[in-house]
Amino acid sequence: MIESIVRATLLGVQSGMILALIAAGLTLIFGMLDVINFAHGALYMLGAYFGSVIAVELGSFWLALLLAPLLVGVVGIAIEVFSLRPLYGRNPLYHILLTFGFAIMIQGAVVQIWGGQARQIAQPALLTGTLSLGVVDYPVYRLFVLAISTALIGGVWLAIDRSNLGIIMRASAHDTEMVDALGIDVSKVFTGVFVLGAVLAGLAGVLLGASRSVNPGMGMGIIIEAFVIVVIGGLGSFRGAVFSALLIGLVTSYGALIAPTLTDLALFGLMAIVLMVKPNGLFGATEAA
Amino acid sequence: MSDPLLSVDGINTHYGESHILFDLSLSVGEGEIIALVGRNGAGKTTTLRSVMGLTPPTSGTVEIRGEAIDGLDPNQIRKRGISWIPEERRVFGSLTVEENLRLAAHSGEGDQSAQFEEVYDQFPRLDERRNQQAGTMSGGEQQMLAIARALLGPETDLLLLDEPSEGLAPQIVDDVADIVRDLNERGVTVLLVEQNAEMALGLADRAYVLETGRIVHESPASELLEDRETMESYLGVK
Repeated sequence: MIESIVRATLLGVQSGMILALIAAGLTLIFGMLDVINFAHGALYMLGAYFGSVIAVELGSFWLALLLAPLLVGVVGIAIEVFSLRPLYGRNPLYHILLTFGFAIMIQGAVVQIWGGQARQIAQPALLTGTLSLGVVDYPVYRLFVLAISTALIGGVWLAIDRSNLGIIMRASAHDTEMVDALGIDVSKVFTGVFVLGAVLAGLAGVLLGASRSVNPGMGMGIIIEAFVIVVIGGLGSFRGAVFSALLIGLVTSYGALIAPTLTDLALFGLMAIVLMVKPNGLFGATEAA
Repeated sequence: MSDPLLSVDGINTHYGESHILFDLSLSVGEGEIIALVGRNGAGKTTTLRSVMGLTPPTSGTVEIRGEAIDGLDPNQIRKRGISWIPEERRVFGSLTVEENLRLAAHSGEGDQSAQFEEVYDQFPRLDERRNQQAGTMSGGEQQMLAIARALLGPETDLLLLDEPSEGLAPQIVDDVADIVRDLNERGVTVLLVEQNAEMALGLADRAYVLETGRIVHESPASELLEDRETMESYLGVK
């Protein structure tokens, strides 16, 4: 009994942190650029595919973990600079249609290039096996995922809270025009935030690709979950997204203990309850980042 | 004669379909305080927004020391020495006082810490409230913050100041007027937009009166104050 609770807690926190990597980008992009990025799941999937190719071609998981997110970041730059930028200030529907189109195009391109079958990213030898944590034996790789995603989320959190760039991000989410008039080139900040979101999503793709399978449907699957998280946390709120990702991770993994078939219901039920009680999400819409 | 600090020549500005400014020209000399007065909706705010590049004019030119700045982004115009303090101040309410100032200092060159201390010396109230959320301060304190914010970063030669007296108690309006006078003595040129014509004309060297997007009157501020007829017909002051 205790063993399964500890195991479920570890699993819940670990999957929560990795969901936070994806949801963080989604919510920051919305908070600053006012763009609902439907292509975010596709960027996550691209991370996994790039990772699987690099891991095979260069024979190193570590190089895949390093290079694949950067490549996704380059794709992010291209999307932001050449397609989103001309549409800022227009009807938000344009962005939705555009990013939705990108999601479909990227998914189609992936099937074209790598086929419809699932691929794998081999876990590095260093991280195979299990580690005894007293009551449970837990896979080393999963502990690694937990550690690296927690470190990254913590780093982004600190940067938003303390650095000048974080101040600019929070201020821009509040009043972009004023930031511009204070001498700061907001378009660069926009690109930076979009790329940061893309890199984090790509990283999550590599990390999860090595514990689950890499397949063309993975992007669409995760984007729904990420949206639920962002809505529960409060659109545009980074802290809200992290908190709500952990909540969803734990609810899902405890739910799997009690009633495995009902976890999806629990997810959407939770969103419905939060929206009824706090329509702006747990961390509200008034709070920037 | 050398070029004026700011010269606006025949600009037309639109918001979407509506034409707001009509062939508007004005000039601001180095070291002057210029008041831009007129009724609500006359185009005063739009004039400042046009100079700052926030609502770029569709025709005409804006020059700073003879160099055209129209077509530049607001952040580039800020780097040419123009600062803008908008109506309602627009401080970043969820950020602390210190963060508001750090943001403004960010676009400046080199180490800004000396500038920072100077600003805190000048506005001790802000110094006391460094870690307070800007949105929780009084209107007067927010106006101080907005002024301090405009002074950090690239050096400010010309300050575009929009309705600084709005929503403030008379005592605080006097404080703000003192600050503007003090800034001017230290070499900052000011283009001041005000509903409160008495306050603006009390401060200014020269004044322009704006009516439905056109300059209808220009004179030394003291003359305009005496000119009951103009004051009454364009400003509704009796």
